[in-house]
Amino acid sequence: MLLTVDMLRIRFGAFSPVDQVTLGVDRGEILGVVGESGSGKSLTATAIMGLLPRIGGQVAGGSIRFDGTDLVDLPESQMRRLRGGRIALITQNPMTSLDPMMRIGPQIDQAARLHLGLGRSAARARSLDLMADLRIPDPASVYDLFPHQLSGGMKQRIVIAMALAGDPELLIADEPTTALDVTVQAQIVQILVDLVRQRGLGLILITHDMGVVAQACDRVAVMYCGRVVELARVDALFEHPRHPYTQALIRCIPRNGMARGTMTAIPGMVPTGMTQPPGCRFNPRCARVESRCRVDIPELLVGPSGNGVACHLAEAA
Amino acid sequence: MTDRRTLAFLNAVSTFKGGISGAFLLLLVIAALLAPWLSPYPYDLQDLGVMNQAPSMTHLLGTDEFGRDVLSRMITGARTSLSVSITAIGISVVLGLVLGATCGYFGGTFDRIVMTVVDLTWSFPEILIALMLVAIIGPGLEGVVIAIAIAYLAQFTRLTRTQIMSLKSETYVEATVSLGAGHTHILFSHLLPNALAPVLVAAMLATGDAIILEATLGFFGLGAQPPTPSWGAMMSSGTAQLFIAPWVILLPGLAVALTVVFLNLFGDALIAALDVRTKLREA
Repeated sequence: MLLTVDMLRIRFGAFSPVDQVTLGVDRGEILGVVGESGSGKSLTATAIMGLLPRIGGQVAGGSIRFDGTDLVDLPESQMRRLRGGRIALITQNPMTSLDPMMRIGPQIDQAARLHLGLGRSAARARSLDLMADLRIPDPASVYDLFPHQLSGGMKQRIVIAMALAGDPELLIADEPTTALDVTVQAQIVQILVDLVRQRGLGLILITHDMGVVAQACDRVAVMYCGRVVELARVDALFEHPRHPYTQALIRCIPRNGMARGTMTAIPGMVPTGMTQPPGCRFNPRCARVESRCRVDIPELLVGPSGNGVACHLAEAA
Repeated sequence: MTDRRTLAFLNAVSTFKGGISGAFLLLLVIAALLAPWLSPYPYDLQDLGVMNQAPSMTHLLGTDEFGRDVLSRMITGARTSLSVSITAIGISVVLGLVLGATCGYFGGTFDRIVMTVVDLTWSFPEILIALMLVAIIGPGLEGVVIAIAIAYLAQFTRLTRTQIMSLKSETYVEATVSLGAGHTHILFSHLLPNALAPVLVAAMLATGDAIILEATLGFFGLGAQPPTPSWGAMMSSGTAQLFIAPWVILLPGLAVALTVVFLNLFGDALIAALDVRTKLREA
């Protein structure tokens, strides 16, 4: 495994928004991380990047192992060399992820100059190649433009190019398509999939779009309330979802030919951090809740196949 | 591709307000730079035969109580006023950027100490601080420059700090951090360029205030020492002849007023032109 996150627990003061997060991704593999807003997807990404202290949080337990190194106790100076150099983050909103006062080119150059030690012209040549790889038309003239002169989809490609410039092995894409038009979304996802296949990168694709998961991912981690509730290969997940939350999520996907008024939703709301229910966090919304679900927290049990589920009723499912 | 700042500057000058005020300021700067060549008489040439003369063909703006040519003295005075206020504000802006950026970016104890001092100085009017400092340093142009620079430091420090603090949480800064960039790179390549526009506009407006402050200190006899002319000192010596030769006090006063008004108008035009967000919305 390129990256293994094991029983990760994130703490902000006395409050733990993320707990028992276990997931992993290998080279040439795409791991989808799905879940509702506030389920801890982005926080997990922030923890992997070692950027929790910036927002006042810390890793309170578990481990994050990248290529054999535990990132949790890594000193900041070494973490900075990994950041952008071996692990890169594609941020959520391309509209605000580019410096409005800096031309496109120098922004892409940054990581190559920092991590590969390239000079100005070598970095420029490399950036132009990257832009061409990402199917950006006329890279040489886009290189000298300012961010406000580009469309959303084009900006997202630039953000991806920025992340790739340092030649990373692991890419974390935090909802890379959320702010884009549907047609552009498909193109961006395709670009990411191609990158993984051609360059053998590991990709963690954070999304709340089950369609993107089905289109792109090899394996999926489903998160709910800061916990991973199910970890499975993508085909297994869609054919035999084992956790009631996953089952409910899949039932909510609109299908072609559905009769009017048959759209389903999961009843209730995601509990906020302060009002976590005792026991399984999904129990107030679960259709098959039993008395032990209200008392005991189910552990995520990962089998030898790498699939796992955190539910008392899983075997019966 | 034209550089964006040059473009904003051109936009500012192309408006009516910006054009008129820009032209006036340009003339003033040229006059100040070329003072020794443009003045019809040496500024300190006394001719006691022509004391307190009204404007005429030989002395376009009249003469003062020592028979010195008022026009020549005003041109040289422009040089004093402009160089003192621009140098002072320049020092103030540079120090304010450094202090404000450090405070806003790193925060902590250093930030709290600096901000306490800044708030303390900001609770006094600039003129009071400047007077106090000149009293300590002693009268003279260097003293005035230092006094004005320190009097305006609080404003630029606070403005820069606020800018940096809000920019720090922008996604593109986070993106740069996640590329592994260090503090220096983030501060100098991303934060300061984005924080600069409002500071520059504030500096333009503060230069106007600084000219008034310089004239005030000169009026009190704390700035340029005779025979070096400054607008404030000229007005001060003109008070005695207010009813015999009103031009000696009125003309430098008019120069101060016009310069400050045009500096403010130009600052306004720059604000409109530099505001990227409004520009984008219109486009």
